[in-house]
Amino acid sequence: MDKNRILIFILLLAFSVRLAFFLGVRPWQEKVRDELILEKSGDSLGYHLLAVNLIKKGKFSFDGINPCFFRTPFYPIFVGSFYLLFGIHPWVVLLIQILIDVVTCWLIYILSLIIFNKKIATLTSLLYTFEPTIIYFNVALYTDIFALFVFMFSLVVLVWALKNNNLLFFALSGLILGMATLVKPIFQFFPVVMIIIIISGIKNINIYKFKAITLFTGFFLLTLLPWQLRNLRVGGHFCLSTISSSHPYRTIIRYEVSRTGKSFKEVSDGIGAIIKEKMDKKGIVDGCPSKGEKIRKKIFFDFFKKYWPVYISIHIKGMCRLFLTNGSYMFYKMLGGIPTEIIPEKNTVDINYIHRFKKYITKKTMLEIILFLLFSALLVITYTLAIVGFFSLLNEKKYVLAFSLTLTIGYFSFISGMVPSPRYRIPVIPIYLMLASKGLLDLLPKKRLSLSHLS
Amino acid sequence: MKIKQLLIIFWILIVYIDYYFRFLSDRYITPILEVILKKIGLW
Repeated sequence: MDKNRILIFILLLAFSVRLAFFLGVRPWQEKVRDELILEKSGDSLGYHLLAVNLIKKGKFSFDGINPCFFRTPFYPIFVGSFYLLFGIHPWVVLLIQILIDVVTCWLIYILSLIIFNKKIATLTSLLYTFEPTIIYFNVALYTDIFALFVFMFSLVVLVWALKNNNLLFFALSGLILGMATLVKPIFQFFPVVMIIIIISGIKNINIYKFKAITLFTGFFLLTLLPWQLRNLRVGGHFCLSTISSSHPYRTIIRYEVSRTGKSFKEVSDGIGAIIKEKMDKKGIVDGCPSKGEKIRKKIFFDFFKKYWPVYISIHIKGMCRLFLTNGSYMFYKMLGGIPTEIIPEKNTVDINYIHRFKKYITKKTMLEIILFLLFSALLVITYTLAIVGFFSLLNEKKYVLAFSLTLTIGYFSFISGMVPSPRYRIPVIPIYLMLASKGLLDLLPKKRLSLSHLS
Repeated sequence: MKIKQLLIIFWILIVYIDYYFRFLSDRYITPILEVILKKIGLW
């Protein structure tokens, strides 16, 4: 009962922290809505338009005319359903997202309770409550919070299935992961990781393993099928979304940016023009996904064949950056501050740190500096504890668990390495928080424990 | 304090300062990480 009270307290805390940020941002104000929530350069405006066209015209389309193949349907449906109920107010959706995230916090508690124990579960959910990236994206019209909820749900069901050897739960887990993929296509190759986890998690019963994997994969693919058929029927292309070809393509742009010193937009426009020219030559109408995607994929593979060492290097740098960006910049912006730009010098190899330090201290505002220092301290400490937790798992010879958690983190960092933004770290946050709690409990002196044991 | 705990605090400090340098110079990754990547030949 006492422990349950702690959990309820943590969930209430999670809710109030998120609500406080929501009230601080004030997304119901027209100015905030137009400039921050439905930012023109971000993806959120796209989701908003998809949802609006879905409820007004019944079409999955950005402009209400051309069908969209770039996005998967669940998030716009989710947003659209609340637009339908409460009118077109993005802040209502954000408020619902906060509630959903509190449930996610509970799911993370359950997951670490099944995997580890009550202490670690409590600590993990407490750390999750104060995770800045998560808090930020609660008040953003992005897929991430909703996708994390569905993904965590599917993980909980999978771990439950593994623990109780229940075939029905394997099928259910596949079905829910399919739904997560329809929210955010980043999960589309994750079944491979899950199958490896299933294989390593079930001991000895071979036919049972085979059944579990078949059910899991079968239900996963079955969930994706309707949307893929829609893309085939409307766009002549059997695929989940055309986003998977656009991400590697960004790496080429990044390479060109570092090689030529041009801005990202210039290079992107340049390559865009080349694609358009190629499409025009072949008489392809712009917007036709199958042909456009083929050209983009071809450009990427030609690039990869030629410069694969460069590509791998960019990819690894991207993966590092994914874990290094702390997001204090966007937090500051969301709370109404205007981030000070320090124009990066072209040659970043030889830098005078003292000069830099002076420039930084004089230009950046106090709040920016404090936010940065706090956020990065949190990040560095969490990662360190996660590493400690990982090694203590190895010490306890829980190899399968350590391997599964590392594989999950590795999958998401590998896939998102091409687009390093704190947003893409979200699916792995609960995983490394679990490891961090494990590490923290390992480091804390165990005196109190032994005393209670004596008494 | 145990040596393990001291080592970890020391490690956190180093990584934190390294991280701070990255932010100061708007670099892609932190200086120490860059040295490591260069050693492996990935930079």
